[in-house]
Amino acid sequence: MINVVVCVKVVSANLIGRKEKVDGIYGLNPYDMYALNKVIELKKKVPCKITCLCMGKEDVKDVLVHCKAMGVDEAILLSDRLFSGSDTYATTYTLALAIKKLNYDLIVCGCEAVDGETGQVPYSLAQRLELTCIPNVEDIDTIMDQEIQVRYEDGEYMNTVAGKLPLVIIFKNFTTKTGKINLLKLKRAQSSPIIVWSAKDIEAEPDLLGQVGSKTKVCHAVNISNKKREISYIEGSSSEVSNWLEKVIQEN
Amino acid sequence: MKYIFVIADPNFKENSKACTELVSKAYELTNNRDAKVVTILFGDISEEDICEVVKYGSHKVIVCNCKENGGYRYYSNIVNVLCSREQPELVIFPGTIVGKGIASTVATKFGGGLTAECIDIKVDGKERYCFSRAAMNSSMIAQIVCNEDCIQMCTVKLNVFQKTGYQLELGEPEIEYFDCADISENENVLNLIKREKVEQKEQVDLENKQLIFGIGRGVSKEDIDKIKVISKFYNGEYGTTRYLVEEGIMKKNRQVGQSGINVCPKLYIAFGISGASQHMVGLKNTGKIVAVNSDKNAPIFKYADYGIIADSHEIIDCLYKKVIGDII
Amino acid sequence: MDFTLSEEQKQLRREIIQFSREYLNDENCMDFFSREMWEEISQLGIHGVIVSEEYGGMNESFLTGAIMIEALGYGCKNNGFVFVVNNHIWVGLNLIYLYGSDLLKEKYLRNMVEGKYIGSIAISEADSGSDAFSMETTAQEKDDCYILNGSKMFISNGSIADVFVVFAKVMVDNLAQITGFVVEKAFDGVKCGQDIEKMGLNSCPMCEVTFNNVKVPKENVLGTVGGGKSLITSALEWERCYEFACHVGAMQRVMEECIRYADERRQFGKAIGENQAVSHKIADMRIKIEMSRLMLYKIACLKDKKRNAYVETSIFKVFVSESYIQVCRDALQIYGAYGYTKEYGIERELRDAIACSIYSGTNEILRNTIYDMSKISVL
Repeated sequence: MINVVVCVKVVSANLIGRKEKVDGIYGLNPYDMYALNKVIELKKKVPCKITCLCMGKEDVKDVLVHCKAMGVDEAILLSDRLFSGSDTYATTYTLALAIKKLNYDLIVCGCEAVDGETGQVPYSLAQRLELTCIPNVEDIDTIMDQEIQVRYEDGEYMNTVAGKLPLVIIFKNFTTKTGKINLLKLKRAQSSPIIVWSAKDIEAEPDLLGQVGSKTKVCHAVNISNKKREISYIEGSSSEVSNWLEKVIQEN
Repeated sequence: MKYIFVIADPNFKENSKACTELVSKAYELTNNRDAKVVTILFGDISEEDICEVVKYGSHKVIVCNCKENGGYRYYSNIVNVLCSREQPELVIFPGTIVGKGIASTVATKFGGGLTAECIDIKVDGKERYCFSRAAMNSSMIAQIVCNEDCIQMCTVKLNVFQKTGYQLELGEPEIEYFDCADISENENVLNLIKREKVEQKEQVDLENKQLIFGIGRGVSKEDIDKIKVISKFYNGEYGTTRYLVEEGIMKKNRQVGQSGINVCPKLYIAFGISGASQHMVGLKNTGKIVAVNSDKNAPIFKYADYGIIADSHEIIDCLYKKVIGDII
Repeated sequence: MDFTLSEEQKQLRREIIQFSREYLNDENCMDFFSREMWEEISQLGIHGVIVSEEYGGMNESFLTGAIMIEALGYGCKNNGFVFVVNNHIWVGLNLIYLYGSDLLKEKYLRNMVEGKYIGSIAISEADSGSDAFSMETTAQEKDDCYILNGSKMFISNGSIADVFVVFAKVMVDNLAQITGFVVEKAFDGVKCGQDIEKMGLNSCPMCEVTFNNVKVPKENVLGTVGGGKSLITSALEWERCYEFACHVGAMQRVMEECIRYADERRQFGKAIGENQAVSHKIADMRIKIEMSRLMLYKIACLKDKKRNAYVETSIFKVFVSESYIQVCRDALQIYGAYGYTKEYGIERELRDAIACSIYSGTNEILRNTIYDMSKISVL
């Protein structure tokens, strides 16, 4: 039985093109959703126990219930007032402490989060756990006798490598689909509580958590979404319009 | 004397341009300050390579005679030793895959403040560095600073800084050859089993094209082929939205917008694209946007300069006939 | 009476809607039964909604089941596919679950819950539709089985079904007694005709099924010999409740599309929704949906209390079917010329809806029933 820990982040629904009213306030980071789907697929070939680890507020529990309905065996939410304002350094300190409390053979991450977009957590986590990290993974080929074989891409090449577990791997793709669930699993997940760990539960030092434990901070943020433009409509038959288009193309 | 480290990607040959861009930026940051640029190069480095780097502003170059393909942890160990020794105030890493791995690993080990995917670095009034990066689906620019007590580090997004292009007269460069014999490798070395060139990796240069055609959900498969011909004829390129990539109709390397590519052509002609914000975010620096959509309430008309409310198929067809007519 | 949904019910609803929207709305599969979609919905696990966990089901209450099925009708645009699923659940596996012997349940139930076998009910014949009990299919007792002879008509799911619940007349003491049987398509002598082309619900195949000296083992009798009439009555009750629960969801979907369209479409310098001729139609849709939903919850609660809901389901069926058809008809009118085109899908909704005043008992027959039941309770 391979113990796989998938680190996931829950993000605001409108960052992933969803409507809050219909789909709920939160959703899973699309990169993590892709990674999670891959691990669930793996479970069909190789017996594993999948644990989802997530740092967030109490109200993201619904998303973790959804993960369990997809086939995750265990979901752990790291939730504490002290965690808020964490940058990558503080985040990985927290995650590493939590992971050390679990049995792990393989740690899986998505390559970045659509809100933070730093893409640093997996490496930093690997460093804290003193593990090697394989980025840009396309697929897991096999896991046998504590050795994993993966294919990862670097530039123009697809590399097939084997490494001894435990390891950290990063999947590079994303998906905005919500993930296929099973209703019976959903029902069971609804009735079994999500495990919640506080800073005390993972024996974290408060000075190394949250904003206090972060090494960087955002001092300013500017919204640069599209400027509004004044539109002029081009009317006419298809051939007139295409003539106009041709002119515009040639002008530029 | 303060040092700004510029770490080169261990594969120097393929990433020399990125390296010199970072060196240029680093040199700019030393302006009127008591600071020097030290560039760290790995592996088999020639005299010419060193000259290139020096030319753009490196006061000192450290060449590490290390193994090839040692893995990012190996290179991190080298960088750790050098950082411990020199205590640089700023370390700049390239935003390549290996670069990011080294940066993250070194930052975690040192407890340094790491800002990833920077698009700008400035020195603020208090002699601290201020890093700019995109966030929230690239809809915001955040300014990041590090805590007072730690080494400041950053990885730089590729193609963001320009080489200054002027030659610098810095006198004789200081060159050090660093012996990596004592650098440890970590226990878990990956075993490379196979390395194959990825077949249909199309080299698409959307980021630098001046004319781009956008293909959206409202475009049929036959019309996609027509747009390919049209864009080639006008020396442009074609991009697409997330929907078509997810449906497998088009490849990811043509996706514009959220988690795809940001483009800045002079002219972007969108066919059958509704204009969801995730796609439009990739177009924010575009010159003129022309939108063709049969739905007059499509959101894209809020972001376009010119709107054509018509069936994309008809317009594409007319353009195509013109183009074919001209070719023949 | 508290009509608020629990958090769990809300989440179940949301998940089913999300799932249906992403995996069951393939535009290319609107006109035929898609095996891939069947696999997807089987993985979702909705077939076992009220079946006990012993057979792989979710053991949900009838009320939660109604909420879930309504969500399916709302999220999945492919009305024909939803029709297949409902036939399979409510008058296929549900009958075996509620009225079958342990042996029958062992044989068929789990596979049906997992979607490996598709179920179908066969009551109607070419000459007995509303007059169902005048059917002519016979089952003659011989040794340790019954020999089934006859043909059933307009059998939904016919060509894709693996297991049929067939009703036939058995002679007991010179009296013809309607009896239900579980018949596998694989039995010798079972033959499906060609799929019948219909006005709508094209993803649900429908055909004639003939039984030519089919040997049905005695253990495959569903319920008791001669107990067929009450089985049929019961089956129709389930169908009227849950098939039409889906239609409540479908009405909601169509209404929401009309609201969006009425807001976007502009004529005479304003949105057409600002005209009462249009907005009132939409208000009427809302009235019908809310009233339907209340009746649905009432019926589901009655079933949870193991009480009879015969007249309630008849009322519900008549009201929802006529509302659903009217909603689609009004939607077509609101969309105008665009609605008449194939591209917008509104005409398909109407074509799918029209059948519902016919199946599960025609509205005319049901009005007879309602009158009779009303007479009894008053006089």
